[in-house]
Amino acid sequence: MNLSYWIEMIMSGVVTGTCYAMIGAGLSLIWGTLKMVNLAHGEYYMLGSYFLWTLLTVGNMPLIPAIIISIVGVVIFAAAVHFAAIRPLLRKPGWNMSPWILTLGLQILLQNLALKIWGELYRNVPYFWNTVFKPWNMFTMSGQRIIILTSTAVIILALMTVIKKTRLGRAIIATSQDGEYAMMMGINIKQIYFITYTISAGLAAVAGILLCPVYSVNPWMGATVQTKGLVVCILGGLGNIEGAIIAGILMGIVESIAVSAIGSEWRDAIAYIFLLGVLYMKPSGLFGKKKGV
Amino acid sequence: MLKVDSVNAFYGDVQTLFDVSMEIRENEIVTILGSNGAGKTTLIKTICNLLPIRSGSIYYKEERIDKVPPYKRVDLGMSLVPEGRRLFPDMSVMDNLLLGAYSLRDKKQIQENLEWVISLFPWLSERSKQSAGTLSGGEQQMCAIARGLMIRPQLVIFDEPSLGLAPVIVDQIFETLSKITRENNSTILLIEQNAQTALEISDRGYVLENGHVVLEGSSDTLLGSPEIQKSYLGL
Amino acid sequence: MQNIYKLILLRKKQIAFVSAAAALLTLIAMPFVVTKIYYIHVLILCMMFSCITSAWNLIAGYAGVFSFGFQALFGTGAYVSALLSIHFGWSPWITMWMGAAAAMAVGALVAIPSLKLKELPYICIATLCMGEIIRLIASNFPELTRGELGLSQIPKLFQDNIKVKSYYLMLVILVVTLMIVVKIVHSPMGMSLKAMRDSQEASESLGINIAGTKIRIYMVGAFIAGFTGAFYAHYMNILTPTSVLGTALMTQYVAMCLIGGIGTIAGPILGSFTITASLELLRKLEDYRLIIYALLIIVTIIFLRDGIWGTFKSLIIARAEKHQNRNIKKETIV
Repeated sequence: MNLSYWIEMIMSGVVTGTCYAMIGAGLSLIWGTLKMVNLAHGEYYMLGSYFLWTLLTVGNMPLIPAIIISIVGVVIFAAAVHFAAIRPLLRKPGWNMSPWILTLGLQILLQNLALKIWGELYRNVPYFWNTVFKPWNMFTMSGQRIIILTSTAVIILALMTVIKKTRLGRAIIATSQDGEYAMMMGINIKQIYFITYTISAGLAAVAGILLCPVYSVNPWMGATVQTKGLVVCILGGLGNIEGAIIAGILMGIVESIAVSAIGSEWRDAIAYIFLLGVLYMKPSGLFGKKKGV
Repeated sequence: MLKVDSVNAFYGDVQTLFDVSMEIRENEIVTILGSNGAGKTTLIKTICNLLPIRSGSIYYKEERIDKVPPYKRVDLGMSLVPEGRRLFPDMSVMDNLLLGAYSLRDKKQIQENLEWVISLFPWLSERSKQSAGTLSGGEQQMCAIARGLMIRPQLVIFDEPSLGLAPVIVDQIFETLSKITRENNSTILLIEQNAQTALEISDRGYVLENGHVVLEGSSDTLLGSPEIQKSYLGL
Repeated sequence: MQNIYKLILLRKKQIAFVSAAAALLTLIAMPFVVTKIYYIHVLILCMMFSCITSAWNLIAGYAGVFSFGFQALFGTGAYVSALLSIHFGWSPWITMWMGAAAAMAVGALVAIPSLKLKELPYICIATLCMGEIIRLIASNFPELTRGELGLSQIPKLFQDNIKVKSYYLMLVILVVTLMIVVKIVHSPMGMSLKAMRDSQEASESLGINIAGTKIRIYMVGAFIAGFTGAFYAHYMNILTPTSVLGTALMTQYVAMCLIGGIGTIAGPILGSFTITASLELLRKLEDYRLIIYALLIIVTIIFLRDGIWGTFKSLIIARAEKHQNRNIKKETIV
């Protein structure tokens, strides 16, 4: 195993990792503000991919409009789910297991709806950019991976700016740290819940769109990514966006190395084991939870 | 300005407020006294609609507000400095203050209010980037007050501002409270266990016990009353 | 009206006993009334799910350990019993017990670390992970389990293949399961469970060994699930990891328990029977099975959180108590 093999493996891990970071960041936001673990988060990732595939294949749309419409489509769908299922549940507080069970139900519903609508065949989406680069002649990197890396970098930077520097970002953090008092500052936390939920779903959809040419589209892709999202979320520290980013990249690299060592049929098991490890060894994350979450 | 009329409130099946009525008029400082569990914080929650009332009504400037959602309170000019400070611990002092002004859109106005608030607590500007969770108890309280004042409210509710603070700081804080009423033309509703200092700066007071209003009157009367002296002043 | 409620509260034990006896007699009589073998099969499945859901209800609804990897215990019982009887030629009547014991061991392995986690969502996540890892182990070692190809030709319980015999066996298992559940719920352990449900700190201060109690309950539940799984293995004669270890199974027992009523004794059984029967009889909807389960879960958790039986129970209790004076203590109702 030479240097270029290692570099490619790590680069591939980093690239996938940034997508995991986006998914984990979204999960973290939802967990922080709404205080619920969104088990159905992976399904928005899946839906992003499926929308794109459908628009490209059946709708015959050019790439960029298809991407935009897919993202918007998932966001609108998430908004609908929010109003139909999440809001009514939030209106009836009391049992601490209900959000978990609700999102579990949503996950199963969406996964099986996808299975019914699109069937069990694995689908393929072509690479967005069909070139391969050889940086410094040391390793190869596909154009797709470059697109993914730049897109995620831009999006993550934008997300962090919003969270840290804008009025909305402050409101989101306030809601996640002390929702009751946040209301007394004039923050309409129901609105914050809605915004957080839909933005997070959008992030997951983007990740799905970026990764589907690499990994192919199938109804179960959401469930596998969900575990990884949970790892990132918990490892990064609940509510901690920068933590999620680092944890995401870490997850990507670990997965990349492990898969080349053990074989891809254990890919999911690796994620599960990693998640268990995180839960037992560092439940408050690498960087500690933000208080109040 | 604020009128609470025969309010009854419950936590689940347990009644916590029994036919509570009180009135706070413009530019007054009114104190609500009571020991732990008397219902003071419940009363605040009902005024802010963080806890729905079973019966009765709450009026603010002649309008009923008991059904108005909590986040609209600031628009009405009402601000709460809650018990235990409740600063957002991982956010900076400046971010906490800016959050206080969340409901304001005009950047100039926010800047002006910020300057006013800093004039009350000058140390805030040097420590603006410090994480709020690392401030001392007294500093946190002052920061919380500053945050509550960022909208230049007409009615400020202070829930046990002296809790857990050294007497010197408490005096400082109460001095600031009087200053605010004068400078800003605010009305203040003060919840306190520290009866002496609270009554000294207020105009009138109510005493809550087990969810009932048991005593009310001007501060001088209350300070002089034997029950108060016995129960709350330890005399 | 007042008298009916008084009657209910005072005689609830008798009412429960009589209704249970009536239900039991109905089930015993079923094979004589029902002619189509297919319906017997459906009833067997109903009873099987009743056992699984009752066991899960015991650990989740009563002990508060919301395990989403419980299906692994069912599957472990199934696979262990099947493999032992295949490779060693032992009779299923013996290997079933061994399968259940294996499930109990796995249950302990799952429960002990899980209870170290402090927060409820973490326990859910951990048990889900463990369940999936177990499934993947079964799936990825085809030399042992034949993986997704299916482990077939599992020895039968009744050589003559008469389904009705399996029916009565399952009925016995169900009755025993319920006896265990009732015994636990009404026992000192059960009382401490109720205390735990209401307040963790309070019961800790009373000196009840919480973790120990939870683990013991978990192992009982695991045993029941494992035994049921072993029965399933020898009844269906074929196993795949997805069918006995997969999350589809989890969806089903969660949905059934939820709809029937978590935290009650009759709830899981009610849920199991209604859902299994309805879905088996609406065969046309086979493709939509999981979608329907999911929708049921969503609608129930939002609107009917205590399930059918749970809501009914609390309504009756609430009405009855209104008509009673305050001195009557609340006791556990079936």
